[in-house]
Amino acid sequence: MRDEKAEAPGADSGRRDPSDPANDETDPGYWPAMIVLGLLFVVSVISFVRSLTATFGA
Amino acid sequence: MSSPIRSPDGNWWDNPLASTEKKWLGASIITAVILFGWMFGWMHIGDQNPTGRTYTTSSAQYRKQVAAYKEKATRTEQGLRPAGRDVYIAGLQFGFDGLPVVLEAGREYRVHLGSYDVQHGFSVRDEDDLIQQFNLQMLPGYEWVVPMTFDDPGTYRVVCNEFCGLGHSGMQGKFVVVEGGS
Amino acid sequence: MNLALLSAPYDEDGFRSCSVTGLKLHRSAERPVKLFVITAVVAMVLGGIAALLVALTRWEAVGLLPAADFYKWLSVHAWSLLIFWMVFMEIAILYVGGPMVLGRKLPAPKLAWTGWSLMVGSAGLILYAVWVSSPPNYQPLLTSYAPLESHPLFYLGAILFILGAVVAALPFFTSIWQEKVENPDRSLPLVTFGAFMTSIIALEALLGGLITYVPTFLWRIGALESIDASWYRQMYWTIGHGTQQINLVAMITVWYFMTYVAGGAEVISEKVSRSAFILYVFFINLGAAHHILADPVVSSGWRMWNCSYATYGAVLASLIHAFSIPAGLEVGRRRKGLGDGWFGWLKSAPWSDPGFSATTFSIILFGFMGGITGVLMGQMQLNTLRHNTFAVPGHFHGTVAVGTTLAFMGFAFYGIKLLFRRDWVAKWMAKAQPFFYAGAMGIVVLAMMDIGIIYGVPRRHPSVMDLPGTAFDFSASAPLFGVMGVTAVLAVLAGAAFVIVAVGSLLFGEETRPSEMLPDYSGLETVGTSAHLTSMRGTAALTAFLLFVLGLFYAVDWMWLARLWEFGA
Repeated sequence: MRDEKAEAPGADSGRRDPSDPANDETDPGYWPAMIVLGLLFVVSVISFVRSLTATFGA
Repeated sequence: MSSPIRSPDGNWWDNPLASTEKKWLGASIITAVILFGWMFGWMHIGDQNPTGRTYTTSSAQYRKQVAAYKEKATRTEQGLRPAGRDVYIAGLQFGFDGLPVVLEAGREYRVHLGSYDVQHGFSVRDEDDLIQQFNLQMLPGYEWVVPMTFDDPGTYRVVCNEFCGLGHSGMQGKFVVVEGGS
Repeated sequence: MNLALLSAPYDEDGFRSCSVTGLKLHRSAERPVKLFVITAVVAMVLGGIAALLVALTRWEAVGLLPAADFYKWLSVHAWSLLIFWMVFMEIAILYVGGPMVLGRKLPAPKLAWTGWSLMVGSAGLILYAVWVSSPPNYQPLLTSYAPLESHPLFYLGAILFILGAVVAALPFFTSIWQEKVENPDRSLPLVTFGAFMTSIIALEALLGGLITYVPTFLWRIGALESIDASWYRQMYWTIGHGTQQINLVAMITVWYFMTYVAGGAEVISEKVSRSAFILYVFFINLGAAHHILADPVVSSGWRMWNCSYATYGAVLASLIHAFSIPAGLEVGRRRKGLGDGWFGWLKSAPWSDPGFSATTFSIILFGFMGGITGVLMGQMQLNTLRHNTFAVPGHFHGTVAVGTTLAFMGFAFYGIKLLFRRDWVAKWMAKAQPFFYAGAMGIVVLAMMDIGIIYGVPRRHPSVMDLPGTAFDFSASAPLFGVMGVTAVLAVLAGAAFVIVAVGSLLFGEETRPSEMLPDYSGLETVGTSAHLTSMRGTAALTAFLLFVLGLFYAVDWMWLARLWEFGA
């Protein structure tokens, strides 16, 4: 796929070198992603509970 | 390995499937069948279906029908009391002809929906329980007769939810459902 | 400033080799792609400004615009984003998926420029018509429902835009034809196949559009005496939803491409993925009927058959891709030794890379927010609960504004590196942007759904808190509109961040080789067994959860319907 040897990307390229054997470690962006998805999940649950209380509650 | 930007080699059609994938395909097909079956079944066992006979008409003709219906109805403080089981409602720029109307709880009415000019929405909610609401479309040139029965007495607010011109957000009406036999 | 926007090192035949994908690329394909992508982003900027104005109006604590201006900007918002941002990107995706992936020249490049010119000119005509409309011309919004009249130039602009898109698509069709003639025994790559299916669906939709707009235009200028509202609705939605199906299939094609380049995914089953695309072609355009489920005229039998969209082919196809794409990522990464356990493959994945994060947020949020709500609302009886309420914009912002837009943004981020060969400027902003946008726009969608479901608030109104002539209003929903308003502003800012990075990179980015900027999975050895024997348990868990959520909301929706008064023959 590559026609020349790839050098390790720059320090802030946003990407670790995938040839690095340590690369099966958790990516630094993983937990922020889980926070975003977790936030949306929590808001969905709140929304769902609200809709049920609107149906059966006060 | 199979890349999405390379032409796949050989007889890719007969490549084996992962067992997990096969289980997922089965679950998906079952889901599709349930979705269809439940819709079909509800037509027969359910009490809420957006169905009713449609008649072609014209603005002028529908206006006459609504006027005739209003003639025969009784005027009360809360609204029109239909003479029989037919209720006529027409959307127009910008209001609902035939509303407000007073209906008896638990009684089935033939509700006629139409429009004098452009497309309108017939969006009805229980004013004390906004989550209970439904939405049907009113089209000019057609009279849609949908049977309806309202079990709970109360006030039901109607708004138009199809853009019909600049007065659209003022287009509203109501009907009142009272205890039967009163 | 690096102004060499359109330069690249081509050989005498006009080809260059991409050091990341290994593709052979010809300048006749790359140049129009760049132009279409830039045009798409310009449309997105206009649509984003309109979004701000519309959101700040429906958030009535601000209540920015009066009714006439609201409908004007709503029309600008709808056409700029749902049509122009989408369709210009999709022509670019066709050229990438077709001639570029196949390593071919773009046939008849003059048609690409002609199509572009026609599309841009007619877009201008549409926006002009919206801008100058006043009674007796009403704003078209998106749907221009006859017999409410819009400006004659609007209908003309729509017709010309359709023709422009067809002309722009012709070089793509020709390149597929040429490939099959030259290499009859070679299957198209999956991405090319997906683009090809997209283009077939597009032709069906565009043809439907011509059948809709030409008679409507003739009626508007008085050459036809009248136009039937029900006929218009049926015909309009062949293009109205047809264009959304184009968005869907183009997005899925982009997902396959991006998960491969950014994440190291493989294709786990060419047969299953291609069959799913074929299902789309057969079933998806019947699905337009889910817009007329609450209509008179159409029989329940016909609606149920067409409602097959919600049940047979198209949902099945979507469920298939919903599994195949994450499974492809899981298998591809497991086989490269990039993670074990249930979700190691996902944890190690390049979330810091905005191409990857945008694509993955797109996949997850399209499925859970857009897809589930679509299956539910497209169901014949459940539709009565949602038709024309705020839940409808909730649904399509979930699909298009979150799902497809994030996918196209990720694709554009990579296009900056692979196509324009520029590094990103403000890398912290580039990395954060998909997170910021997914979070903000996701909450906007949830707020819209709530507003529509719990309060039954109607769509297409400038204000609902103070209805003239009655004490009744929807003021109970005001706090939710506040949530929607604030997060909508944040989402527009996140969109602006994308534009800043994109434009900034094109103008000021360092010209570097993509191999120095993007992941290289080629150097990794394959570990483990063949694809079909590699574990997909992570994907199985995620998709099982998706089905569970679908089932839960399905049951709850029927509960709501059953509590309603009785109606129907």
